[in-house]
This record gives sequence, C-alpha cells and structure tokens, in this order.
Amino acid sequence: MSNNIDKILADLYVIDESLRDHESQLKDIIQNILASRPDVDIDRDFEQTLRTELLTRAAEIKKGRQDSKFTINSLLMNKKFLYGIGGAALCALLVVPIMYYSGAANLQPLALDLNPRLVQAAPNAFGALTVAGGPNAQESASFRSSAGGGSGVAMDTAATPVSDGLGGDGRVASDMIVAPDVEIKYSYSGEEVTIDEEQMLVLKRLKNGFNDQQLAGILQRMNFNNLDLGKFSNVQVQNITLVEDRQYGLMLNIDFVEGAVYISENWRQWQAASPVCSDEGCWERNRLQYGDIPADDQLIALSNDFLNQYGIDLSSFGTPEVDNQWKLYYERAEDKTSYYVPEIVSVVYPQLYQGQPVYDESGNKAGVRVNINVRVKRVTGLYGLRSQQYQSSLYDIETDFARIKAIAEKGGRYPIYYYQPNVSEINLELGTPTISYVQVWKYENNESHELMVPAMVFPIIGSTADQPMYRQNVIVPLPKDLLNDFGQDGPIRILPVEPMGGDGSGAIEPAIIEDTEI
Amino acid sequence: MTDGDIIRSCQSGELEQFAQLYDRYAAKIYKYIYYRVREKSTAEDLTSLTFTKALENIGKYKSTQGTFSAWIYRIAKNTLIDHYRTDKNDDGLETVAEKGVEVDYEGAVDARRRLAEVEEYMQTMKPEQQEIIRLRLWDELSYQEIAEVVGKSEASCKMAFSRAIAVLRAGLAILLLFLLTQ
Repeated sequence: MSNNIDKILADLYVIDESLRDHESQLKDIIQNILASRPDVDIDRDFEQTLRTELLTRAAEIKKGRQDSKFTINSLLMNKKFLYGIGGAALCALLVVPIMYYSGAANLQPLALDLNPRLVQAAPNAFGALTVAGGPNAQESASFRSSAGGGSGVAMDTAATPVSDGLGGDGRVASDMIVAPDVEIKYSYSGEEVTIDEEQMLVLKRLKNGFNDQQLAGILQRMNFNNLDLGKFSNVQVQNITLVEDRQYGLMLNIDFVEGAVYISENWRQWQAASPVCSDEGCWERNRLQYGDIPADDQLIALSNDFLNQYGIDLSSFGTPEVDNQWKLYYERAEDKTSYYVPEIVSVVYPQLYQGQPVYDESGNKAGVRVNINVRVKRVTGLYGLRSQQYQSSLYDIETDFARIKAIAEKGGRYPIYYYQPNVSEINLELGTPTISYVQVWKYENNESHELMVPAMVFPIIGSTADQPMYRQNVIVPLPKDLLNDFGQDGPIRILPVEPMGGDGSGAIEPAIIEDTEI
Repeated sequence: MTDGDIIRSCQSGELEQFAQLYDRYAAKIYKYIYYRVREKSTAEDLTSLTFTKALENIGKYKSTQGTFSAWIYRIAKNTLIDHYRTDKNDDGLETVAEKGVEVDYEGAVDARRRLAEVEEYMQTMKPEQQEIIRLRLWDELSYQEIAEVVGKSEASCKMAFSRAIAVLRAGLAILLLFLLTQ
C-alpha cells in the first residue's frame, strides 16, 4: 500500500507542487480513504456460474447466425469428416471438425484445457468430503482395481465410458473380496513429521463440459425423413463416438458432460493384433515371452510419438514412466514359463500439483495413461484426458502425527480386519512420508465428483515375494472429514468367512442346491 | 493473448473467447459495482447484466475509441445509472455518491473517528469529485482509464483529482482547527 500511496502522491505533485507541503496530511487522507474501501471479493460460485451462463449465451448468439440445413448423406460424403477422425489434432485446444454444412461458418473449437487452473472457493465449499450412507457408499475405481491383485494386465479403463457418475473410468467393480490369507503389518520407525498448517486446500474438478449448444443445434437439423429431430426440445449432446475405419483404427469418445476425451481401439480393426487360435497348443505357441516386451525407453518413445502425431500436449504432466507392476508378480512366479505376460502395457504421465505427483488411494500415480499393444507395438488407448479446471477450498486437516502414523500402519484409510483362518503375517517397513495430493471420489446424488486432497504418502520399503498385492505407498488423506470413518468397513467389504470344514482343511462346503422339478 | 487479440477473435466469430475477458475483469467490475451499491445480490445482478451487455455488443467495440477496460467500466457505470433510475428514489449517480461508508471495521476508536471524518467530509463534495476519488483510490484506475470512463480528458481528470484532494485536506484542516478551538 505504501508504494501505491507514494505513486499517487507523486502524480499529485506533478499537477500541484504546493501539495507537497502537506504530504503528511495527504498521506493520512489517502490512507483513510483506502481503509474505508469495503473489503469484498467476488463470490467464486457466482463467478463460475456467470461464466457458464455467458458461454451459453455466446453459443446462443452464434446459433442464431446459423440457418442452413444439411442431410446425413452430405455428412458422410464429406471427406473432411473422415480426415478429421484420422488426423484430428487433439491438442490443448481440441478441434472437432466433424461436420460441415453448406452456407454456414465452421464449427468452433471445443476447448479441452489440460493446463491446471484453480478457482478459489470459500472454506468447506464442497461440504462433507465423505457422503451420506457411510464409506460403503463410496466408490474408488482405482483402489478396487489395485485391490484385486495383479495379473499384470494394464488397467485398460472402460472402452465405453459413461457419464452417469459411476466413477472416474466408468468401472463398476464388486465391492466384496475374499478375506485375504496374508496379513500385512506396516510399521514406521522414523522421525515424527510436523505439519505446520491446520488447513490445506482441497481441490474439486469442475466438470466444465464442452459447450454443446452449437453441436446440438446442428444435429437437430439433420434430416432423417421419418424423424424430425427439431421436434425435440432443450436438446443437449452428452456423448459422441467416432471411429477410424482402417486397420488398427481408434475409437474416439467425447464426453460432453465430463469434459473428457477417451481413446480406445476400434475392435473391429484390431483383429490382426491377436493370434487366431482354436486350441490350447496354438495359444501356448503364441504366448508372449518376457523378452517380447520392449524396453521402457522404447515404450515411452512409442507413446510420445502417438501424442505428437495427434497433437496432444501433456507438458503440464510429469515425466512419463512405464507401469511395470506386472514384472514384480512375474519375478515372484515359481513357473515363469506359464506366467501370463501382458499384451498391453501402460505408460503413465503423472498428474502434478504444486510440482508433486498426484496419487490414487492405492498409492499409484494418477494421471494420463497411454496403453500400448506390445505385440504390434501400437497405442491402443489413452485415458485420463479431461479438463483440468478445479475449485479449491480450505479444509481442516489432521495434524496429530501419532494418529496419522496409526492409520498408515493399518494400511491406510480402509484397513482390512478380516482374514482367513491361520493367516500368515508379512511385516513391511514404511519410509519417511511426504505430503502430496491424492485423488478421492465423492459420490453424491447419482453423480461422482473427483476431489484432490492433501495426503501423507508413506513409501513402502522393500517388498516380499509373499506380498499378495503389490503396493508402492500407503496413503493417509489428511482432511479430518475423511478420517472420521477410519476403522469402519471401507468400500472393500469382506465376504463372510465360512467356518472350517470338519476335516480341518479349511475347505468351505459348497452351497447345496436342491433340485427342483420344472 | 492481449485484450485486443481476444476481442478480434470474438469479433471473427469465436465468441466463447469472451470468457477470457470475463476472467480478467469479473472481480474488478464486481468490486466497482459493489462499492457503489453495497449489496451483494444487487452487485451480482448488475455484474451479470454488465457482462451480458458487453458480450452482446462486443461486435460494436472499436479499439480507436479506447481500451476494453474503460469500455467495460463505462458499461458498468451506465448499468448502475439505469439501476438507480428504476429505483424508488429515482436518483442518478448522486445516490451512488451519497451512500455512506458502512463504518463496520475493526480498529481503534481514534482510527474509526478519523475515517468517519474523512467520509463525512467527502459527502459534502460534489458527486463528480467523489467519483474521481473512488475511481482512483478504490478502483485503482489510471487517469487515462478514468478519463475514458467519465468522458473527459486525462488532464482534466488529473486536475479534478488534485483539487478534490486539496479540498478534502483543507476541509479537514478547518474541521480540526474548529475542534481544537472548542
């Protein structure tokens, strides 16, 4: 403020030098006027809402300028439609030149902003970070897929993603697992880590879906002869799927609600990627071997080439790394010759926040995932490409390190308490934790919301061959709201453990089904 | 991108680029309006109206007529005037100028008294003088921008501000002298 006042005074003296004689008074006056200014700021929710309304209004204005009609035939005959799929530039500004019609302006680009942007909201703006109904009502797709153990197959998220709130990748997994037969005990013997702040920012991804008014208006003008789309009111475009009709062609799914783009194989054009076998011997002969998997640098190069070809700019993400979890299980397999070597391997571009990688609750790095078919050395899919606009809001966090340590030593927010009889123990050491951010999902009112919350990340030091499920880190989210349900059943529920068989073998008697006459 | 680049994009049909201008000026315009109406919901309504008008008329904006910043502040000012013309009191900008400061701030009794004196004396000044002071000190506009908003030359705006401050100083000095001799 002092510099500002000096500038104001300097301007005044240029106009009237005599005012300099009263500098002290003038300073007081100006300071008092500045102090009397109302301390107010724009409401961030209002700001965001108005922004959306203005974009809608902009689309309406443009729509009002478009009045030409076209038929489905002219669309299919349009070479640019096909060219747009094959060579679409999916860069920070996603262009979807999918159709033209006579006499009108080109479609405007749909902005897919991959550069993180934050809009600050009031403290606790997102309400309770857990949802009504308890932790079992929560879904954590990535947690489930990791908890299921490793066959080594890369997490190839949904080929037909949905936007109806079933979680970030559309995966709906069973929420029950068989009680583990190995109990993992974590221990931390390092120094206490002090957390200075009592509040930290929680981020909520804004589902800034693509503005579809323009496209909806165009589609409604399509002439299906027997069906007049113009009769439908308040039409919105939620989802569009495009396919490359060529060998190894891709499928492009644009989710207008989530503001996301998914790329996967056009299955019909990937037949040549898999051997055609009708007997076990054929499958065995064509099974991939460990040495068939390209080196990490080759896989990353393949992935980067794909991104460059399609103009996808991931410069705001971290250094790419190959997901080699399957190799850990391979090394532990007794019979390596019959171990299934995956045909799909992922390259992960970690999402970053404040220069640190963002994790999922199972301790893996979250971000954009590029899947590569190692048999034909081609990219089969890309997931995690969505707008990176977030609201941020301050929340109270846990600062009692003893409590955080206790949660970490239980394996995280959702410890497993039920085990098979005669369970064996594995002891793993936790390394010095760091504070980073973790993805959690809040499922509310039939909609999933992606949050990024501060967390303490404990690296797991060393692993054993007996470890049933490979984990790199134990994550403890720090917002107090999320730790309130610690100790209850998490989203992973345990199937009831049946009593042991009479011979003590632990065999569980199969259910007896009575034959009924039909 | 500069404001000019964004405006050119809007004017060539990429109206969604207006959102970038909105991002830059939303908070400033909101504060400008709030300082003068002192009610959150009214300020939000008028802010919304201002930007809607700007969007709908972006095609008419010409850089030769001034900066975008001044242009949108003018829209906001006119929106305020329209608002008060439809208000019961049916007053213009004078009503805006006459709204007193809500003396609702923490601080020593003495500080509050001094602030109250400044504000009380400002009420005796002409509305145009008060507006120039607020545009310069509260809204932190440059003299050039003030000139474009109020429709006068930059030189006359500087002079007006200088005189307003001088009058304020003289008036407070007299007031102080009066109090000391009581």
